[in-house]
Amino acid sequence: MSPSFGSAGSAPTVERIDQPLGADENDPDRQWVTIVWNDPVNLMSYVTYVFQKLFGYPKEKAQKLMRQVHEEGRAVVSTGSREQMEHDVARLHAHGLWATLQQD
Amino acid sequence: MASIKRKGDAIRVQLLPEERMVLTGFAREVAEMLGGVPAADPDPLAAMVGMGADSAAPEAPADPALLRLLPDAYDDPAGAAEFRRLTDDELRRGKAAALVRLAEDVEGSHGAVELDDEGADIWAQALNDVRLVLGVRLQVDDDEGTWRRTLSPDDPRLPLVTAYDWLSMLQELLLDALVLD
Repeated sequence: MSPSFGSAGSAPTVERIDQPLGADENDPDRQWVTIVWNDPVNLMSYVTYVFQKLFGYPKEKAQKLMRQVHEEGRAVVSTGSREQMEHDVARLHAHGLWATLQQD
Repeated sequence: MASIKRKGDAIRVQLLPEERMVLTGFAREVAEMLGGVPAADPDPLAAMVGMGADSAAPEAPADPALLRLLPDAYDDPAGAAEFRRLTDDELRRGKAAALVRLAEDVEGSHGAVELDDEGADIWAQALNDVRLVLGVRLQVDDDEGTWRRTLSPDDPRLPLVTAYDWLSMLQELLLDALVLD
């Protein structure tokens, strides 16, 4: 969300927003996520390797995400702007992983 | 039997003659499925700005194996089509180039190939794409191997199963050598 600034000279205020996150479908500030889906062919060792290589994740985190994909059928592997997520999905496709992006 | 071992900065791959044939055969076949690698781009500038002869919006492949290599990036069809229009050509070329590189490395050897980490990474991607295609052709459908039990002893797909298992083993050996800490 974009920060709001008080007019010059006034003290900064903190606004409490009671609206639940994600309530506004058209909120342009909502993050995008890259999702990797389970696949019966890709080797676990390869998926871990690709997560480490593309995202620079430590081995432990890459393995945890790989297991999440394997056991839960999907995992969010990166979060950011739509452009960043399109870049990540393209790289994952280049490496043969089944990936999609969507707004969180 | 194939072996892959790291020696310092190099990764050494040893392959038997029949293993080399299987590997290059599948790698070239999948590269062809993807449209191959153009020998030289007739107009690099036009290609760069997306004005190639085939700049019409590419459709999602009808062949499920090809669709697995070039999947939709969005659930929504319009988003998927737009993403495909922007990325399809580069994705196909990149994959085909890796597969051809694998085939050429093997063909240019007499059974012993020495790879650096970058070369081994390209091999890992190419091997994976071959396995993905075979996986779709064999209808590999779960992690527990239920699909195997549907194969009869005289199933015509058995040679493909053997190739798939061998490629999986080779991929594991390569990843062992390539492992990131």
